[in-house]
Amino acid sequence: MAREIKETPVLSGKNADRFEKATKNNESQRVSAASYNRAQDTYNRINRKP
Amino acid sequence: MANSFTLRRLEPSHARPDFDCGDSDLNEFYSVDSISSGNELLSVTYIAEDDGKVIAFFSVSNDSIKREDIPKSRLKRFLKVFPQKKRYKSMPAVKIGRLATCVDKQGQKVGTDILDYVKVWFTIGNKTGCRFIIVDAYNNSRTISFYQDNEFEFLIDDENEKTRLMYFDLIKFRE
Repeated sequence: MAREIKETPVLSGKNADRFEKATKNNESQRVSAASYNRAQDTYNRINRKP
Repeated sequence: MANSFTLRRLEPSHARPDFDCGDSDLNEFYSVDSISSGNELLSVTYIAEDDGKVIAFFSVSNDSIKREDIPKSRLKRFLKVFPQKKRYKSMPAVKIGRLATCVDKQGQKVGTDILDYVKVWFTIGNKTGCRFIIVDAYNNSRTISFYQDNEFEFLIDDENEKTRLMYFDLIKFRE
């Protein structure tokens, strides 16, 4: 049997504070246009294949 | 040159075509555990096929990121630092439990293509809300670098464990 997938824990203490700060900061962030367009192209290319 | 492959959902009843990524644990999940996990509705496995050959697979499950209640003793200080209107104790996520590329195709960005696909799939293409992609990554420099190159961050302090939980915040992925 393969190893179990690690469960996502309930965040507390420093982990929770760091996560909260990062997610708040992310609200005003965007990936680069190059990353975004590359992903869109990949998605469309894979979906277009019969 | 861009990778050319199709994605197919692998039902538990489907045969598992040959696949070897060079890692026995990932190979075993693909050929054995993905069947029981699918039967129990715990995960869904997808294969990437190129010319009839399985070049990669990944499994996904619903997940969430939750945080503990903030003790009253810390709440005032917390609100000073994070004065946003709403704070959610739980936010929806999708977990990529396994992702592997066959030996012949490693280093050719197939994994990046799959992550890119999942990013679009769970934002623009999604029928429900999903804020994060979580991965349970092998704690070795090659795997960690791969996810960092794809803009994943560490979720918790688990640097001494065999795997590390990492996440990508899909809110950064809006137009």
